[in-house]
Amino acid sequence: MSQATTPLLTGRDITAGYAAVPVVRGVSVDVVPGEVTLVIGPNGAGKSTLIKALNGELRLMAGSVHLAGEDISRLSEDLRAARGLGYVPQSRDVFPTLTVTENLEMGGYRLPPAETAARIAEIFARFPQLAALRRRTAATLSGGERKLLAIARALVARPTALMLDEPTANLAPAVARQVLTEIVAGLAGAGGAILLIEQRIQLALDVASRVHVLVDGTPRFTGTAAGFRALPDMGAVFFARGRPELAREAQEGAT
Amino acid sequence: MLILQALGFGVVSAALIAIGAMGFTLQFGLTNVLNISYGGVMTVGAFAAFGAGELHLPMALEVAAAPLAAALLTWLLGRTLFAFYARRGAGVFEMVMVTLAVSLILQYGIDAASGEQIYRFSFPQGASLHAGVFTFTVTQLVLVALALAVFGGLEFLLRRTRLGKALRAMAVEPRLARTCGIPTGKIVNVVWLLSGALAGLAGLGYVINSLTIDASVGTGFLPLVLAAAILGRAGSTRGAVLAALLLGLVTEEVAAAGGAEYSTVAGFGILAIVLLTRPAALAGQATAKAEITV
Repeated sequence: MSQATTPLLTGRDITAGYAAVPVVRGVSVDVVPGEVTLVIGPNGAGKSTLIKALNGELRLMAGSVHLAGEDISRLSEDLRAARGLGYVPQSRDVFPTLTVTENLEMGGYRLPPAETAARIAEIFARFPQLAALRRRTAATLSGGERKLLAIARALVARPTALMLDEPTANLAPAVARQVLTEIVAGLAGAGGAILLIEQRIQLALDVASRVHVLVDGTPRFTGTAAGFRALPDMGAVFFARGRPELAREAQEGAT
Repeated sequence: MLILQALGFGVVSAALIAIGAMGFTLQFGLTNVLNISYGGVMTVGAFAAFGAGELHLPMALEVAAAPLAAALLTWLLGRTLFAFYARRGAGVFEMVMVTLAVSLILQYGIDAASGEQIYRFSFPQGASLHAGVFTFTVTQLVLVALALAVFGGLEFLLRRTRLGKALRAMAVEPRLARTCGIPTGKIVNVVWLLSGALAGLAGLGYVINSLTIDASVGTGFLPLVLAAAILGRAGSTRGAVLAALLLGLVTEEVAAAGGAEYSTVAGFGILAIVLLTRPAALAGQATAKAEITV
């Protein structure tokens, strides 16, 4: 939890969107090792747009992305991945026609084959549930198994920082809790630098260290999870559209 | 008797359709470009071999000329013209029109250059071998063996190698493939070259078997190739081979029973029936993948 730790993934003053229309404007995030950095906000706030800009799927209109100190703002998605940026999309997160093992092999595409095999063995040891499914095609997995595979696929490459876009979407509440409190928290506990987008705010706050609230594509709150919980009215942060004084209160309450 | 013998012709036809359909399904499955000019490219391959033969080059070069010329042409089309339209936001349907235009340019260009003639394509056929009612020439057996070898090679590539698994991954989720660090922009070169080479081989096989060549051989052959690729579910080499076998056997049987005029009608009859009973064979593929990856 040390504030002094150097962030591994940094988005600085990011403006990005579709065609010429920015959806997020001037958003900055730092993702620090050993911590879950949570991005929340109402629907349409630009959370997925932010993650796509960090990932390289969307071109930056302004701002920069740094991974372990290196400027990756102009790199394509595959080169950002090769540099160590891990990403688990919200949907279309596995290769449905490939087996579980083949999905994991794709996660290690940039590694030497022997290292990929070793990593997959480690992952099977850590997630025995996945090992039992190794020959199944991904299309036949349950929602929870599929999300586990998607996260494991991203882990094969030992990412420097890992971005998860709503990993609990479409999961049953018990499975969602398991994904967040066991897998995501476990990864951060092991030193991972994790950027998490979530709709299940209460659950996510249990595992997050830092919180960013986006509203209408702009940062509305930035601070610690404890600070966010201590806000007199969390809802006001979300719905303070056009009422900056509420947001200011929220900021002050947080610091 | 004739019906039984036609089974033999059917297997040879099926082999040629299969080679073309495997290339087509690989290309369409990965790039999502429904490439109508594939027929014209088959013609170009056949003519490259024909030209090499006219120059009295060694037979190995004559045979190699077809896949080489077709691979190069396909790669050029894919990286320049198709990529240009894809970048400008052309959808699946617009790309069909672009490839149709290319197809017409190739066909009529070759027609003009070849003096609008039908030429004899002389190629050694080897001894005739008899097995019961079946008669095959050595060359026909080689064509069947070639189809099997292409199938085996592609299956090995797609199921056992890292590149092949990446191709399968790209075919279903190109975006996620890039997120894995797979350089899809580079790998697509392999797709153009490989599918183009198979188009060239199919075109060559077709003229070897028919012993004549003109500017419309490929475009005339394309509908059966396309039907096999669609019947077999776009993107599936196994499906393409099975569908090619069905189409090859049925078209030759119908030709034997009712005359050659009906063979193509029968081929499309099958396609129409299958699409009626299993429309997802085509629609599922086209709607699930909005993204053209060239």
